[in-house]
Amino acid sequence: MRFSGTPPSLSDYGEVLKPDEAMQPILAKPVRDALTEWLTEIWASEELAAVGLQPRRKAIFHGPPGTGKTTLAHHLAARLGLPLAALRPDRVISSYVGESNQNIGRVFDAAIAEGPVVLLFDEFEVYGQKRIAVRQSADQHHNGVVDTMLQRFDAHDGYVIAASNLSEELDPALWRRFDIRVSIDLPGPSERRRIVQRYIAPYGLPKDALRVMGEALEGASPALMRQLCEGIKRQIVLGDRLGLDMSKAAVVDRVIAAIQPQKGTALPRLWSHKSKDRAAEAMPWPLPRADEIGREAEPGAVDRGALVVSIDRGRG
Amino acid sequence: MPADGRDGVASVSKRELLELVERVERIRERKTELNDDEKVVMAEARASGFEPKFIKAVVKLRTLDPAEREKSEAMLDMYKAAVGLDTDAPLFRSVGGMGVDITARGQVIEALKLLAPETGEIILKFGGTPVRIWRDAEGEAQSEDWVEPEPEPAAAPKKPAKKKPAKKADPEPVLPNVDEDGAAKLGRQAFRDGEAIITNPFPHDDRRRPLWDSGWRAESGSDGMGDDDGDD
Repeated sequence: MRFSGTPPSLSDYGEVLKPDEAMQPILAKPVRDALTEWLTEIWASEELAAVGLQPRRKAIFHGPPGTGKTTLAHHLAARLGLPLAALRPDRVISSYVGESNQNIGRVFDAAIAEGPVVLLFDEFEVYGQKRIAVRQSADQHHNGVVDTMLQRFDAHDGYVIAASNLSEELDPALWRRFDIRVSIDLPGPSERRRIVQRYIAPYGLPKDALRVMGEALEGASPALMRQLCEGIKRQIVLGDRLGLDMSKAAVVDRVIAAIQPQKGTALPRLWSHKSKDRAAEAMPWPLPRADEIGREAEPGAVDRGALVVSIDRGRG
Repeated sequence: MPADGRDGVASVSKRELLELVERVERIRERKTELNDDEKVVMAEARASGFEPKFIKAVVKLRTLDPAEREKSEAMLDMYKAAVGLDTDAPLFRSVGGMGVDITARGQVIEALKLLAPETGEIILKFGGTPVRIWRDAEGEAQSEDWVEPEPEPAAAPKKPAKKKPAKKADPEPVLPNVDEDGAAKLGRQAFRDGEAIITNPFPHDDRRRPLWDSGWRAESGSDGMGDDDGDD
């Protein structure tokens, strides 16, 4: 056993993030509406109790990697004024038979002992993959993990959020335990523009350049866009010092060559055309500071076609 | 019928005796049962990680009335100190525990009351909040929490540091003292001041937390999850 004597704490199994460290998520409107509804519901616990209802406490966020599921969970916990325990599967799941079950039990026990906290099970498919017919002892071990999860889920009345990239792999019984299921897909055009704006700051792009950049990044995850923006900023700061060619085309090509989208995800247009892309051509160079660009309102018409958001709810 | 009579007398006392014996037997039986019950409770305690030995000791202590208990504890402490089982004399140990143990603090203050001078005062500046000990007009020893008087204006820079310990007693020092409407107003103000929605000062179970949040949202016209520009 890893712990002798002292009871295990949540920080043994992941990071405990404080509310004041949270960032604002950038999300599509339907997802935000669903989350606002959830917050309102939690805050109306007393009124709900008067009619024999309880606020929903268990949510799963599923969607492609890098779409900000953890950021979102952190933001929600911060709005509630609670810390977020972001559990790491490598610390909870053990190779020793039976220890994973014990660890899951300890996580839930610690969550009760350490006072109100939002539990985030990242990469939930690790705990909750479909149970299978037992052929070898490892299968039995896995099925045991799912059974323990089911039991502890039912017994726990705190907030639990699960995040998964592979929701179709999850055990149906476990899937049903989530009262709120939010699909977080790749960002749409307006979210892409806001993400670029956030990560390119303190630099900025004029309205038109931002729009074409948003188009050229279709299919990119927030994490990839962040890498792109931070790569460009890093080049601006370090390029001269390293004696690199600081022309716009050279910088864009270098940054894009160094950042590759995850395998199996779409390749955004910017990665195909690189510095020849319209978005790169429309980008002013050297990049102006955001406060030097006249703040104009964004165009009103927004295409949300690329956004697929579904919100399921209900038990069983 | 002397035999009958004797027999009658004998049979009455025999019956009486038998009854008494049986009653004692029944009581004994119940005692055994109760003892067994106690053993079961002790086994339970042991299973939950408690030591029966000390549970028994505590049960015994609880049978004593408080004065008796204090007396026997004081005697035991004194005897232990006398034969060298204790490194600290009881009072010294209490002084050491003053900061963390209210009982120890009370004991030290009571002991020092005996030493309180007829004129003048004793001010204790260790072991938590300072205490002042003095004698009133009737010569009765008194004690009270003591707050350092405000220093002269010349010593102004020291002021904030001095004030803090006195404020420690306040359980929620950072919470704004407002009602529910006030919380919503604070939320609105926070947005106007450019503060993030997650800077809500109220704890999660405070009824004012949602109101602060809704105030912030109403003022910003958004849901607090990022700017709306270009979205609507």
